[in-house]
Amino acid sequence: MRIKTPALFNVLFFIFLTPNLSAQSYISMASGVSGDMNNTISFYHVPLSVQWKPGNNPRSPIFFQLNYYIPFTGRSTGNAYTLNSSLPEKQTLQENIRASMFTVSTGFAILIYTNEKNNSFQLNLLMGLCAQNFKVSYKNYDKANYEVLNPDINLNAGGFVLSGAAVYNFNNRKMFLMLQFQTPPIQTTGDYPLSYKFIAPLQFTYGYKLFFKKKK
Amino acid sequence: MKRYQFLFIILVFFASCGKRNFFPDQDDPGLSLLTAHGFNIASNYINGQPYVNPFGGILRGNYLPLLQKVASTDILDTLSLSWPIEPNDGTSIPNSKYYFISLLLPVSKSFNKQDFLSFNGQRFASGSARIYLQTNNFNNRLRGKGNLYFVEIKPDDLINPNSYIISGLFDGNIGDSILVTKGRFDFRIAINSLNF
Repeated sequence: MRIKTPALFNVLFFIFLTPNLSAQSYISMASGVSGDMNNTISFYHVPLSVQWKPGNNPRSPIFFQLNYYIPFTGRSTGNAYTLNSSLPEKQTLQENIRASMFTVSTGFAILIYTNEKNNSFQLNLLMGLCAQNFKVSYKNYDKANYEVLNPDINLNAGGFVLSGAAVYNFNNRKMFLMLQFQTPPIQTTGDYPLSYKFIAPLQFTYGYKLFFKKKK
Repeated sequence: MKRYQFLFIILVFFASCGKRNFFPDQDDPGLSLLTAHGFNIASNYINGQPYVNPFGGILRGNYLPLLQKVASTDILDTLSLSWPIEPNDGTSIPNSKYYFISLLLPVSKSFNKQDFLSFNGQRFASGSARIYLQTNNFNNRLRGKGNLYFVEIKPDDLINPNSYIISGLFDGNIGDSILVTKGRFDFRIAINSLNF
């Protein structure tokens, strides 16, 4: 699809010249809960999000974001088999997968709405790199006698991601609620077929902004 | 347009290339994981030394097994599953002690493909299977008792409906001196290659 130059120019003009709510430089911290939109196995995390908006230029909507996701253990099952005739030929094992993630990204904010009480609603659009680490274990696995069929294995990989967030800023501008979605990394998980895929987190967080004083 | 045709040919070439499909088992060094994807990989220990079916390069892929019914003059015929093996611990192949492994099961004279599919999930009673190892002396086939478990036998509906995926476990012993342990296989076998 070809984008006409004037249309592209208008979009860039809108993004970079739209006044941002937080003209002041700040660091924000947020946490909450995160689910996964890309797997049948339920991967839940506690996201820790740090955002830094540098500079005091009211026309600069650019900011940086670090997200670390503390994992809850995802659970699945695996079947194990044995040749030992004194043991049951098949066992169903509980499979535990701990999936930790780290994302570093940069993006910009677009102010959508402000009311007379100074509550505001903005959209954040980001791109970045995400590392995902999956550690797999099987509970009560008798490795000497049994073999798991098509077992999952550990994976440590990452890649380019895009994300978008809807942010509601409260009137004191310090506290905010954020609903953020991130795509899975644009990367294959390798030749070996796994029962899990890269995680696409949908996180709901509550955060607080620490504004820096303007330089005189 | 020619450029796209060339790219398409390259893509088809790489898609059809044989892969090693050896996925190391962290708990059993030198062996591949137990899978049921038709990876054409088999591995086992012989007296603690890991063996695997050889890789014939990207054009050929892994060496394939032969699954055949062997007729006999007895009441029962024999189902034979055999494949070439080589050491998988860096030992040079010419120094290999064993070149072929065969698993054998007695089957009826009327044994057919449906009977074979009914082996899905069957663990055969201890000692009902036999295991053969071929040494470098081709007149000397070592014969012993084996255990065999067909963990999965299924038509390959996903990639090639004219083939079966067979996956399983095996072990055995030849006397007290040769122990075959931790054996596992995952083969895709063309239905039209079967003689039953």
